[in-house]
Amino acid sequence: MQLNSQVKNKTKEQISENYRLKRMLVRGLIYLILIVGAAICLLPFYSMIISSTHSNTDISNKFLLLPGDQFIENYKRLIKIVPIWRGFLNSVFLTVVGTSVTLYFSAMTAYGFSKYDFKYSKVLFSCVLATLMIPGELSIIGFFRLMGNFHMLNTYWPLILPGIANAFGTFFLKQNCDQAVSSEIIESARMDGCGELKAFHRLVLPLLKPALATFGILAFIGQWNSFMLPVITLFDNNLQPLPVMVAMTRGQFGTDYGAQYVGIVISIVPIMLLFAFLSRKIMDGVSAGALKE
Amino acid sequence: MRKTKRIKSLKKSRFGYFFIAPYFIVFLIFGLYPIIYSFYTSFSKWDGFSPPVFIGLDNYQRLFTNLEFYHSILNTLIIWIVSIVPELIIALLLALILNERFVKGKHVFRAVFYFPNIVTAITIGVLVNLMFDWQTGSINKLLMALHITDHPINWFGHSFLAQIIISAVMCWQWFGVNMLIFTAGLQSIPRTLYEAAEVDGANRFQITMNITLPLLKPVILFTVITSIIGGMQIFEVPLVAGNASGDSTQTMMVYLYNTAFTRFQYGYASSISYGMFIIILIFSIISLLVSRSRKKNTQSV
Amino acid sequence: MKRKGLSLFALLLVICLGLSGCSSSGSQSTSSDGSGKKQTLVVWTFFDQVKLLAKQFEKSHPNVDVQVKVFPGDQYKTKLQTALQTKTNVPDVFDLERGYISSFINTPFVADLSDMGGDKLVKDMVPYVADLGKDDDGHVKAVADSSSPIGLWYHRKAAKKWLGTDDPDKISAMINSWDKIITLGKKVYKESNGKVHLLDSTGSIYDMEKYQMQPWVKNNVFQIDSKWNDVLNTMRTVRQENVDAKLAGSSPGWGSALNNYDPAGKAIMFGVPSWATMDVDTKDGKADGQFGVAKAPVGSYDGGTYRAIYANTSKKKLAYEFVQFDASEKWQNYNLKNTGNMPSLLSVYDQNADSYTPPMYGDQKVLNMYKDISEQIPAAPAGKYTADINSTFGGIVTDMLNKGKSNQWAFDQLKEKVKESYPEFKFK
Repeated sequence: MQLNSQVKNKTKEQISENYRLKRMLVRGLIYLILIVGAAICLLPFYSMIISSTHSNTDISNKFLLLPGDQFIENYKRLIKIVPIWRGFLNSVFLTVVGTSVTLYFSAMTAYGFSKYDFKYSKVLFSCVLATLMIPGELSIIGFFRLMGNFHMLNTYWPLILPGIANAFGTFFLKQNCDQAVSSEIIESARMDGCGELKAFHRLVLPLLKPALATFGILAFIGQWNSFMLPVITLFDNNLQPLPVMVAMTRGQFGTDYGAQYVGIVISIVPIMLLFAFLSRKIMDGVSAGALKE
Repeated sequence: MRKTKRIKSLKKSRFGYFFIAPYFIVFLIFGLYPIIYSFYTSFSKWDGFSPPVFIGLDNYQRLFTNLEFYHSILNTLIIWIVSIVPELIIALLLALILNERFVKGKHVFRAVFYFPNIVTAITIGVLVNLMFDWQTGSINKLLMALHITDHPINWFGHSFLAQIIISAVMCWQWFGVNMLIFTAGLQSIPRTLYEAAEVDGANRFQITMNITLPLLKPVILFTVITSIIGGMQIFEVPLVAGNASGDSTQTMMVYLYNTAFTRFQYGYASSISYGMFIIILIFSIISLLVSRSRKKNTQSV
Repeated sequence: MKRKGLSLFALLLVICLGLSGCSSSGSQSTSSDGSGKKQTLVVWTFFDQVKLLAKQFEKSHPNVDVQVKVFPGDQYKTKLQTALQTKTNVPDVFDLERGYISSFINTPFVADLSDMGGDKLVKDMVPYVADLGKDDDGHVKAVADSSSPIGLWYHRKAAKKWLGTDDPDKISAMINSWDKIITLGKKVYKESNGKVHLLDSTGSIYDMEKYQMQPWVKNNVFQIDSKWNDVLNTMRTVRQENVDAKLAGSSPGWGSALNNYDPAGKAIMFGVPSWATMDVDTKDGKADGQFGVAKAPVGSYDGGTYRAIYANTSKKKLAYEFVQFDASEKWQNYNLKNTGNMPSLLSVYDQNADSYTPPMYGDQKVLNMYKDISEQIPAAPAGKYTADINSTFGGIVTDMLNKGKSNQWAFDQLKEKVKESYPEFKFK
């Protein structure tokens, strides 16, 4: 009896030993993949930051791995031409307001399509989907004319208002609304005498939170990187957002890559830091939302 | 009792219009009007200065007989396919890996993988231009330092090489987004399903193939469809990265941009945008049909 | 609360859109030309240094406030065009670049300066500079305060080592034909064991020769000047014999080679316009005495910034005064001394010929050299298609050299492309 169990234990140990080894190997490999992937993602940014601290000659003559001492010089030359911090503030304002507007109205539209069974709702929703496929770039001439007629040129309206009609957001949030928001909850809220809009604010928006977070990132990035529209509709350089300022550093005559790199760094690093904090929250939100279901 | 219920449901429907009204009001003004305006423009010859001249279908006739246009479609397709296939595979793989319980630092990895997408495409274009420079780019410097090549490679001097570079950049920039979307999809799959499969003795691979992937199908489809629409409009990176040999990085959007903003042929450019619209429509319909027939197949099986 | 706020917002939105939609045709902004008050002049440009011009102008016109709005980058042109075309926020004076000037000055949006006496302004200018600002009928529509002749800059140390001299005139004589350049370049390449190239890039040859040619389009007929054959052959030989360092103009590599004064550096000579001084790092006297300017086999230029007046501006007189100041000796003297931009007036060249010696050129009196080059540049109208077709052909020629194709291949490629871009042309 005793002997038998001892043998059994031994083989079990062997098996588990073997299994453990294999598992370690697989896990090691997986970590390797992750780390290599992370390196590929970050290396260009590292190289960019390093480059911003070197002189123009070094940037193009050497393969740079260590920081240099020219950052301040490059920065001074950049600041002389481009009010980059002003652009940064402009971008923050535009992005925060624009993203909030987009999120709120996309959720609203999505909710309308998802939970109300009105006439032509299917047709109208197909219209929304169809607009996803229209290449936006050339409507810019018509858009500009219209903004001129509205006296909205050189203001932020043309950059914020169109965000109310975000086809992708509506599509994305409607799908989530179909799943995450049960009709029963709304029904019961109605029974309690809750108004439609109040139900939307109190019940639906919180339920959509994880989806809003995911889409919020996309909308935020889109707004932050928006380039063509501000270039065309804003005249005042003090109103321009960051991407336009970065493009300015590529001025018509320049081979001043040191200054350009500093501009790029200034446009990226704060977002990098912000993202380092926010990403945790956003992703926690996404997983928390998934757990609730 | 019945009466009150009917009234209630009527009221409900009416509110639906309220909820979607802001969208459609804004869309009509800021979206549709410019679109119609450019449709109108596509039937005229217009340099942006003198009044437009109506020329009927001439622009469309020119468009459909123009080799440069077809060439730009081909370029776009090549760049899209070469980027989207590895992009989705990598995204899915990483999403699956990062969904494993044992992996530590998930948040950090996800954030890092997603990070390239946060950077303005214009900036990336400038970076690519610098890194892949023929005589002095850092990539060539690295290759030569490692003795992989003796002579610097003229990246943008070879049509296909240039396309691969643009594709790789697109892939690098976008796989993180798809990974996030896949992750959201993965996390919506109930844990109990996995646990049940584990009880039945299935291994990780079997679980992935038989449970995870089939359940993830709608999400995968979603990413494919959105990436078609995005992929057909590849623009900033090829524009800023510079012209390659034989215009091989001239995508449809770049062609449109050049026609409108360097040649001032707004009428013709408008017809290009409608040509693009038709092409994107065709691809979207194809992908929808494919997904539908797939659904039917799985249902009948 | 929230609910009210929202509906209020929606209501406001609708009202705003409705109102502004209606009022668009009505009131135009009432600009005050009132006496005693300061007058404002709005100037759009892509070029930062225009601010200097504005400051100097304000000094002599204390009643005027010049608002310069600078839009560096490629989008300037689109912005200006959309503004003109929608007649909103149009500036009183705007800058036009040589590449697209023709598309603008042949439209009614640009005021005719000849009507206001503009011919007098350009009479004593370098001929090519004056002609670029004229429309198809020969009327003056835009005026430039500077010329931009291309010289062959060379590194003095490298020239001494490989060419035996750093004297501008001697070197100019050594390179007064492409054949001589090829022979010399072969020698340099051989003696340096393949390390040093005489010329920066074949692109420099292309850029210099492109303005020597007949226009691409004449009476709507597309033509290729037969002189291109020789030029392409020259470029091919230059490439095959390693006379050029394959540094694409204005690329980062090119910029660093320009600032590298080591005699064993990549290239000795750079085909650059006079304003390329902004690519040279002059900090701490690094560049002092490092450069000389020699004359290339042909006279050519690169770029050009032209000032034009909006035809419907309410301040035409003031705008003209501004342009007049731009074309004056006073400003161009100031400009030369403070920014190093070559003048467009021949008289300013002469007045400063002996006194203008920026440290980077050592003891060379560059104005003589540049005046000489400027006067050799063939004068011709800018041409609506020139810039686009030049850049298309430039790309094709680069391809031709890299792939070892024939001249005929390049011509056929060009024809095909032009046919697709401009179906309205006739082809022989």
